[in-house]
Amino acid sequence: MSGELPPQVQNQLAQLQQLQQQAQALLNQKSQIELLKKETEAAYKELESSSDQVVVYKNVGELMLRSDRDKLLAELKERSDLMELRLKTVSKQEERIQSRFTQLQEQLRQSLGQAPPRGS
Amino acid sequence: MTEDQVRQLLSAYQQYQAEADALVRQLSLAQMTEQGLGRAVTAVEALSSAQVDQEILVPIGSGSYAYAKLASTDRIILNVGGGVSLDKPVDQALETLKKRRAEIGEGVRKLGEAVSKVEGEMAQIQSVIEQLEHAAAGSEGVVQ
Repeated sequence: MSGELPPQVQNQLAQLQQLQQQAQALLNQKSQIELLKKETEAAYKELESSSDQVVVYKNVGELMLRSDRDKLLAELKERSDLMELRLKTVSKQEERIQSRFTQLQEQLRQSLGQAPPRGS
Repeated sequence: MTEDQVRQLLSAYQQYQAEADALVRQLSLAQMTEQGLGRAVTAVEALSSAQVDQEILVPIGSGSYAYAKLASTDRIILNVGGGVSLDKPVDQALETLKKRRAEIGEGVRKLGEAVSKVEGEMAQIQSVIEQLEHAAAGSEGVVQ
């Protein structure tokens, strides 16, 4: 079927497919970051509601290291802020891809409108 | 039914198949988590009948164990996510673990329902396709 399309249209279709794949990859990345952020926030809340003298461990690979509550709270806050920043970056990338997709879609529509009828 | 409609049916079937595969993967992960929580609940409950300094075996992987002595029967270390684990009294830890198990159990139930729903849709499409195949085979027989 694509053999009957002009090379320009084929190229635009390929670009659209590529953009779609990029959008899907970004979406996966975004939901993974959101999940991690949620988990970090839940851990922060749990730790914050514990007493100052709570015995707390930090998981490092297979080891669990005795740690300090306030130090861990600061680490979790920093991690959560970092994830927020990454989410903003991914959202901006998503917007750029969406805008490029719409632009390309319009170009494709115009190209198809101008394409000579099949068989002529 | 036109060729286009058959193609649409097959495409819908493939989409449902992909959806079912993804749901089954999620379901199996949720079931594993639920089983893990069940094991943790059993172990924490068993602590109440254990003694401080009682000899225990600590799993170190591949069915191997290290000798150890129980240091406490009334407190355990509970993972709260985000790479953080807290020391908790047994009753509080048990409550948290049971709550998590109930939440995951609810998720397992919902995922099971979603899988059944998608499989139902697939069965319906399969039945339509089989009817079409029979009809096509019948009409070929008439031609012969």
